[in-house]
Amino acid sequence: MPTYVDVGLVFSLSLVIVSLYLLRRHSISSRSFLGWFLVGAGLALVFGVPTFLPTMQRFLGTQILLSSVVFAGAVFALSMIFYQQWKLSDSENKIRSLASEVALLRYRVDESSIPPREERRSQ
Amino acid sequence: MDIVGQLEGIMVLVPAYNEAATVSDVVRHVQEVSRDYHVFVVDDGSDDGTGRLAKESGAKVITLPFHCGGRWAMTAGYRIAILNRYKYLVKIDADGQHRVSDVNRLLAKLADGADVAVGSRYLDGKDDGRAGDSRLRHWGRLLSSALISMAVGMRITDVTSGLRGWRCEVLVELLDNYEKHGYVEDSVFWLNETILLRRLGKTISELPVSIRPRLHGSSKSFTRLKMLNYPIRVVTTLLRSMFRGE
Repeated sequence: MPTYVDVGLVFSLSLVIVSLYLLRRHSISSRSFLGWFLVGAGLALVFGVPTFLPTMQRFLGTQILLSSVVFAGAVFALSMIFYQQWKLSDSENKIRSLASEVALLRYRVDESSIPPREERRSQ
Repeated sequence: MDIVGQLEGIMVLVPAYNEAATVSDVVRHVQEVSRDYHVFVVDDGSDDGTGRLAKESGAKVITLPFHCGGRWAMTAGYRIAILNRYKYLVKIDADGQHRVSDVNRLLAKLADGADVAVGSRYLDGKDDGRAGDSRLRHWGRLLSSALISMAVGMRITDVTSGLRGWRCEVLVELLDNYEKHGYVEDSVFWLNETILLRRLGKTISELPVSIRPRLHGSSKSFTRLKMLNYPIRVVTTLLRSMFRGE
């Protein structure tokens, strides 16, 4: 019967392997690869080194092990939200900039496709 | 960006988002004031037929594919003014609150040498300039004007006014700066631009105007939610300008 440690190790190693595979296939940016590789490696450390969590508990000064895990998880989740929010704002600006460019190009195309007044009269 | 050759003509820019009830009248009134004014409406992704109505009224229409916000509509207008080599650009709101006759007065200020002319509802002190606005919005405007005045070292009475005119050479420098440093939120666009103009050494001249109360719809720039955020945005705009040395 596999324990949570086995499942965790398989999961973390899968993350590392899949991110390496996607990087090799150029299906993932190097920045995203680095992020997921670090997540996978970090989880492997948590599940693979039995003394890691108690050490972290002592370092954080919590009485219950679960509190340390929740705390670390919350810090990680908030950091990810902050990073994603930043990237989202950046992408939003780029999309709006492109939309503005598209509107201007469309306007210029429309303008150039209408023949000048004199030309239209002679037709 | 270089402007080569002679600049001539006057462009009147009307950014519009869901202003179907008023945009036709605004376009027609501008054209009645002078046939020399070339009216451009930037339709900011309206879904009520604003763009179509503006076109039928005789304006040239630039349609943003979806609602991008005022700053994008404005900068699209700046680009059109530069591309078409206009000498002056005047911007009025599509909600019909501005008096079209004030366009001539803004242009007179620009012809007198101002780089940017701004219509101020608080300059002559005849009325309180609220034009049916809430007290909160009114005081928010006065406070932000006071803060920006302190930041730029000149008296600005109505920093959020949407009735403005520019010499088009100024727009080139503004656009360069926006591209380099990015855009700020819509609600503080004019605050940021005022700071930027002063940093670039441009002259800003205010003239007294009166604003009519809005007859249709409600303000899109200052919804209740945006009003809550507004003080934070004013402070961040000032901090940003300090860090960038603006």
